[in-house]
Amino acid sequence: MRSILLDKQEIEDNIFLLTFSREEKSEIYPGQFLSILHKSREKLLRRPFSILMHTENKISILMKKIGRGTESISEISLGSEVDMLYPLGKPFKENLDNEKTLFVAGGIGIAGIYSFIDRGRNQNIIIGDRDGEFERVAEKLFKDCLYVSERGDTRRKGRVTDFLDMFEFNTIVACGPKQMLNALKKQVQNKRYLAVCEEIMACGVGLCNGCVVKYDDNTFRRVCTDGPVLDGNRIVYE
Amino acid sequence: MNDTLVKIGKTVLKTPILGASGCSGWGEELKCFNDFKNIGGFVTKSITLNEKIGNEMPRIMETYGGLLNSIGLENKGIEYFIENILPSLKTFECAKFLNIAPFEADDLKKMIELLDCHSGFDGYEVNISCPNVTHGGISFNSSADEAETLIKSARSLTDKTLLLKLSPAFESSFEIAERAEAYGFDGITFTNTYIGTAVNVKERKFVFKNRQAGLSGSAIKPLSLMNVYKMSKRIRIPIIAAGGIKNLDDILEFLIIGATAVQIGTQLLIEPDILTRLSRELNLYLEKENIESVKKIIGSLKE
Ligand SMILES: Cc1cc2nc3c(=O)[nH]c(=O)nc-3n(C[C@H](O)[C@H](O)[C@H](O)COP(=O)(O)OP(=O)(O)OC[C@H]3O[C@@H](n4cnc5c(N)ncnc54)[C@H](O)[C@@H]3O)c2cc1C
Ligand SMILES: Cc1cc2nc3c(=O)[nH]c(=O)nc-3n(C[C@H](O)[C@H](O)[C@H](O)COP(=O)(O)O)c2cc1C
Ligand code: FES
Repeated sequence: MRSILLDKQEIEDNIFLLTFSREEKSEIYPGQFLSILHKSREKLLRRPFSILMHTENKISILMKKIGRGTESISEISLGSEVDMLYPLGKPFKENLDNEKTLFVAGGIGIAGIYSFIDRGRNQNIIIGDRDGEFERVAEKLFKDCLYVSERGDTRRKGRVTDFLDMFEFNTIVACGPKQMLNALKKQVQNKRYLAVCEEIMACGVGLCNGCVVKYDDNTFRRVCTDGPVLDGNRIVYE
Repeated sequence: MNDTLVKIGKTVLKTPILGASGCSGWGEELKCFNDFKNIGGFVTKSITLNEKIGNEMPRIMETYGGLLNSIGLENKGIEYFIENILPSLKTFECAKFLNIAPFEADDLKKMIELLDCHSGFDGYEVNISCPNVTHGGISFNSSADEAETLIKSARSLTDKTLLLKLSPAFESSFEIAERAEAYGFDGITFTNTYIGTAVNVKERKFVFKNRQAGLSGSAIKPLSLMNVYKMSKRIRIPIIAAGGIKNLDDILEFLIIGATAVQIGTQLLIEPDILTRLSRELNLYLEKENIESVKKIIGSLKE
């Protein structure tokens, strides 16, 4: 599918908010993602990104530039055509109880939880990072969240897992590095744990079995078609 | 309308373009992106006699212009396939080959016996060339005599189209192909992935738990093209070529050099609708160049 890049903002060093025209009108649900065919010639595969926001005519992502693919996507000029596939991933169709759900993101994991959040209401949200690089992003995206950082002189110093006690919740929705998802697992054993997973993907559409995570019964789930939302308490993170 | 039909064994392909094993899922996923009425067909993921859970992560790594994979033939085994997957396969209006991967010498016989009473598919692609399992499998490909023990009885077990998929990592593949021809196989799929690896510099460890992985994609195309050329000098049964194909020119190169049909793997992961697109482009090409049949291109290399 062809889309046009309509807007590009670098809201922090190497963190881009990209907005594209939306040509494909299939309904989009929380947890779904899109994949972009980029023009870096040395790497071949599409790059997957959570769908951050969408309207009838627009679709946007929050992208952190970390390598060749994201670099070449960050260089796309406004008005250019982009080949992308969406919506991908299993739609999450449930309504979560806002009062009892805690949303946790590590770094660019912000993009993974954003679509679950009903922005009209107060939410329990913790955003954590290493070095303060997501503070402004968090401010821009959420009117109310607990922002914490491992370093830097922020009000709250520490990891997201140090702050869970401040909230009452029976469900947690989390996206971020594997170490974070793993650390959360140890603390939320008796709660519902929806992990929004990210694995390196080849196809993103279920053709190759390249993107799996292992469950506790030694079977694999494909992140792209069984997920990205998977049972965080059952995943073996290693 | 120009003629894009080719025949392999008893199977007529509407176009000589197939989705490769391991990159076409079980067809269902492919169907979302392709009009099966207008494509040649596809080969399923590998099926093994018993369930295989597959390799640990990571399973995928990109290389310069290529892709290393270590999927490890993940599938639920043949009984599950027959019960749960085969029924939907029947409804797809294109050619369908089952890729079957034996681990022990008598696996192949057992699998064909279980499958052959069913309809809904065109034939088998016997895979002895997967580099991603530690025993069995590819060891059959390393010697012509070992391969022979496996393939010699296959023809007597089925009337369906019978293909053998071989590895470019062994010189023996050429002799195995000759013997397969003598034993009544209908075609040779060549090539599977090349054996490669990668090292994690920080940890000083292999990237893949299985040490080695299979290299595919654009990076391997010139190698596979040469291998297909060499193979075309050794056998007369059709060659179904694979290796880094991503556009119409790549397809034409393989057909000119002697392949009867081609498979697309890695690029199908990137462009899941590519079978439809390239089938259309092939049609347009024949029309524009005024070539009445694709068969005129096959083996048309001027030496
Ligand atoms: C379902 C899903 C949703 C995603 N959503 C977003 C999003 O909304 N915003 C965003 O910025 N990113 C997201 N990602 C991650 C994003 O796809 C990768 O950052 C991107 O593909 C990297 O491409 P690259 O070519 O720039 O990096 P590469 O050059 O390929 O890699 C650079 C380095 O990062 C590592 N790496 C690459 N991909 C990942 C990954 N998925 N997880 C951990 N390490 C990785 C590589 O191993 C390498 O060391 C998502 C991934 C998935 C699977
Ligand atoms: C992710 C992936 C999985 C594969 N799985 C299988 C498989 O299960 N069985 C098989 O015979 N070949 C498998 N292959 C090999 C392909 O079918 C094909 O022979 C090879 O990749 C070369 O073609 P390509 O360069 O177009 O990908 C796989 C390839 C890839 C990239
Ligand atoms: S990336 Fe291919 S199956 Fe998930």
